[in-house]
Amino acid sequence: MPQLDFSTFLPQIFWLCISLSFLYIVLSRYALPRVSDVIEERKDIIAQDIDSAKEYSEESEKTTEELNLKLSEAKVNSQNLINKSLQDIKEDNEIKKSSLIKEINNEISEAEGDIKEKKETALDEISSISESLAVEMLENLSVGKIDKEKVTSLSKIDN
Amino acid sequence: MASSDHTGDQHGASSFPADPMHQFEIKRLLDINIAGFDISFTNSALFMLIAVFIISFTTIISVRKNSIIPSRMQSIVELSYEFVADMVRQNVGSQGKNYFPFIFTLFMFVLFLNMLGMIPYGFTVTSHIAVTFALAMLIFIGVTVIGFIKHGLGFFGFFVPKGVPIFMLPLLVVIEVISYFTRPISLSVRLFANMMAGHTMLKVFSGFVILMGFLGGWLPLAVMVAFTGLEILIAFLQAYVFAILTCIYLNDALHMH
Repeated sequence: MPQLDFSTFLPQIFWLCISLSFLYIVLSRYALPRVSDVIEERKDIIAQDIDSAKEYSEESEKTTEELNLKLSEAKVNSQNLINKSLQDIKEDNEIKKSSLIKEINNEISEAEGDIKEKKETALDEISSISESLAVEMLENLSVGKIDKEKVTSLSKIDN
Repeated sequence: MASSDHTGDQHGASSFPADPMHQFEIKRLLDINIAGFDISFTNSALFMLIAVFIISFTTIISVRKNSIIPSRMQSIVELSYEFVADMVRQNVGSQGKNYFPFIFTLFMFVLFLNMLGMIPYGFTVTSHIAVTFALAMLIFIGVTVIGFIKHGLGFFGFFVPKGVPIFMLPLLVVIEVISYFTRPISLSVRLFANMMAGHTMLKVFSGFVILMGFLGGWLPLAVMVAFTGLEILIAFLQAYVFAILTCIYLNDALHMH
């Protein structure tokens, strides 16, 4: 069994010491600190990122709340505006309606007055026209002179 | 065919196609002798240096850029870092931070020595009791020294279990002392025996493949393939066990239980 050949023990142990201590120095002085540095740095960056993400999400929540508040305010405002304008329109309509009715009534009464006047003048004219018509007819029919005044009095009686 | 099998068994390892222990032989590649001490450069030393080179090279290359978004190599190094760091954190606690570089070195060193042994024609450094026992003694002495520095003479209290009737104490203290001093033996033999047994087994099966020829060799070959997978698992597992036991011993020394 080569493992029990004691003459090989010393060289094995000697080179074990050399290689192990060399490896230890390389790893502990150079490699491991740098590995731990980079791992720490990465952890820090991740922690920072998580922190900032939390901040952002809080901020966004806040802004959402504000937005909701503003939205509800705007809704109320717009409802008010709609109501108010509806009422305004209604009032306006009322006023316009009443003034229109008044105007129409005025015009109607005016027109009625007009019609009355015109009727009267028409009647007057008719009587004068019938007068003159009667005189002309009589003049054409008869030979002698016709007493105009008599005709007038006759037509007046007719009326 | 059957008769040749028979003679092969009777004549033992000499006519067996592959001597299973041959792979563990230490070959002197370069004879060095300083002040009467034989410190020859052997194949064992070569594979230790290869492991050291691979580990240092990989880690140095991967941390040279050191980017926040890691490359593949850097990911591997970071994963192994986190793996060992978790192991130390869980078994030793926050005080173990100072000893993390040593545990990491130990784990990577043993892991790579075990894995290099899985490469065909490779040499398994950890299959030698000299190496594993030297490692175990280093850990044992180191941990004991740490215990005495931390607790002074109070560290002897480690051998006195708490909440035990007084008449039982002499027996239990003896048991505790024995179990403490057998730690390096169990630690080193566990690693060495696992590595040696696995590789011997693989070699024996590979011998069977040749012996049983083209017709019968397929079965031992299939077993070998499966066994290679298992050996790779064991190579990792033993490195892990070695490191985690070191953590547990360290924890005992730091906190006493």
